[in-house]
Amino acid sequence: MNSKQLVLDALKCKEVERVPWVPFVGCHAAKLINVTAEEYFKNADNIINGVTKAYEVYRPDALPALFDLQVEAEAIGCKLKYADTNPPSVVTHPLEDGAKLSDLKVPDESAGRFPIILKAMRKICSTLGDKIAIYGLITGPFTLALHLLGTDIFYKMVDEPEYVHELLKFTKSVCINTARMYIEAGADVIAVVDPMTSQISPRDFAKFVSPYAKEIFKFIKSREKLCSFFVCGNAKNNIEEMCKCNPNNISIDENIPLEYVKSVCNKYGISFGGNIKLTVTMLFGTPTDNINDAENCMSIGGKTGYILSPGCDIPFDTPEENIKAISSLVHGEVRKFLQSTNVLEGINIKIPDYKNEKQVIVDIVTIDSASCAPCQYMVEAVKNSCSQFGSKVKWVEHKIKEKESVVFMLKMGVSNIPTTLIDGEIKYVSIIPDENALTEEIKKALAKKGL
Amino acid sequence: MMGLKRVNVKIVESKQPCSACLITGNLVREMMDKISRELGCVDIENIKLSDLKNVHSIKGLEVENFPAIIINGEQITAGSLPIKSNIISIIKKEAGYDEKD
Repeated sequence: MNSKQLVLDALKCKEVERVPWVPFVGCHAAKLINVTAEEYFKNADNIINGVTKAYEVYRPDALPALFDLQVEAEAIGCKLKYADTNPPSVVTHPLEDGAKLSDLKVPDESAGRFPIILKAMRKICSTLGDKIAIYGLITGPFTLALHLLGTDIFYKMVDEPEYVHELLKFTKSVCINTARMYIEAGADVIAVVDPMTSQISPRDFAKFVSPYAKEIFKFIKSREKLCSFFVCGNAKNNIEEMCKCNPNNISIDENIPLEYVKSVCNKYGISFGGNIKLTVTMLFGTPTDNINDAENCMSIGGKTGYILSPGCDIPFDTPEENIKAISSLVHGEVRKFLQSTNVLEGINIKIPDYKNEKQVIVDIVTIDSASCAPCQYMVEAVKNSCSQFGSKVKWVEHKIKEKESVVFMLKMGVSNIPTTLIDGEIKYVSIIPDENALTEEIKKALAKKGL
Repeated sequence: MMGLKRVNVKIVESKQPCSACLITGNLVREMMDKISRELGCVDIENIKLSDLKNVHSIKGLEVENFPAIIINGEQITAGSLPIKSNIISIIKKEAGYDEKD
């Protein structure tokens, strides 16, 4: 199945053959092509080259054309401060500095950086759009309102709610027009990214965000495109309200348990995505940490209505190997990936002489049962079965977080995690064995040895 | 303002935050700059973490969600925007403002 179709089907809650993988590559693409984040965000060719490079290196099923939540604000009149290794930051708020709401204009194709972005998006969609889904990311109405007004918005929500509604009507219009421009440029999915809604209560969300978000999603769907509501931060209390806005998909970060989002989204028939940890895992972790985190997410998410992604845009300096590790898991190529790394040089292990051992040995190759749910279930099943045989049977967990276990995995021909072997023979691959069936297999192995 | 103590405010952020944390961090710094100008007794320290090894050396940091605000060694926020009046109230108390102020 084509990657693009995989994503579109998952967004529509259809069962798919494997979990789609959407790395949110934003300023990290600049690092891939050896430019600064500022050079990246200001140049169409750099954006095209960066996204293309991310496609080649990470083999995703979808990519955002750009991840920059300051585009609309800049086009309306906010000043930005650019950086070498981060997206730009808004440093002025026109409505706080004296501008009137009536002075502000909905930006069109010629405003701010839109000419650059639309040029890049059209090229990316024409080059990659038949292979992967392309996301057009727009800044959500509340976050955009915060850019324009600053933190006074929180006081005005109490003291001048009518003004805030007028402001949100304006930002909603901006969102709709930006969505229109991105759809016309070829984007398959429009993601409304509104992280600052995580700072308000469900009651305020329903009052100040929902009416406008609903209109935005209604517009996107009227253009027969799919839409995602993307909120980073601790937005757990707002997930239900987000679903009521009727997007096709909700995307969240590590602050919210994925199981919780799944349970709420399932009620509404909405797909969901997330939530690999950005800093601890992707930026500062090891490749096996990334495999572990992604495996956990995939085991929770399943193959219906779930998209594997990081919680937000990938940091600039995220090691390529960490992202490639996730790609290897998605494509069932963990073994090949681990073989290609040079971290195993000098690591030697002794494989048991299974045939002549005076006991049956059950080996379980996991990421780490303490932190990987499928691994934990497999270990528990093996532990329960083995316990009835006493010292005749020994079980050993090989955690591929440890290099020796990776070498064991490669020497034994194991390709997937978790895998169970009995006396050196692969028996269960990514399937949690039924305890009765496992017990029978162990009995056969014991009988073979006359034990 | 006579007799007021200086109050140390640390704003701890990741050096490469995600877009959401970047926006939150900018707004936190803006808010603290305004408060600092209003109250005059605040010393602001901006800390950008380039790795997690140094996290434990930051006195008062208990919850590792960023941006984090630490006032005189007590963590006040972890990843969220504070309420300005709450921050002012805490700083005034730490500085020794008279209750009538």
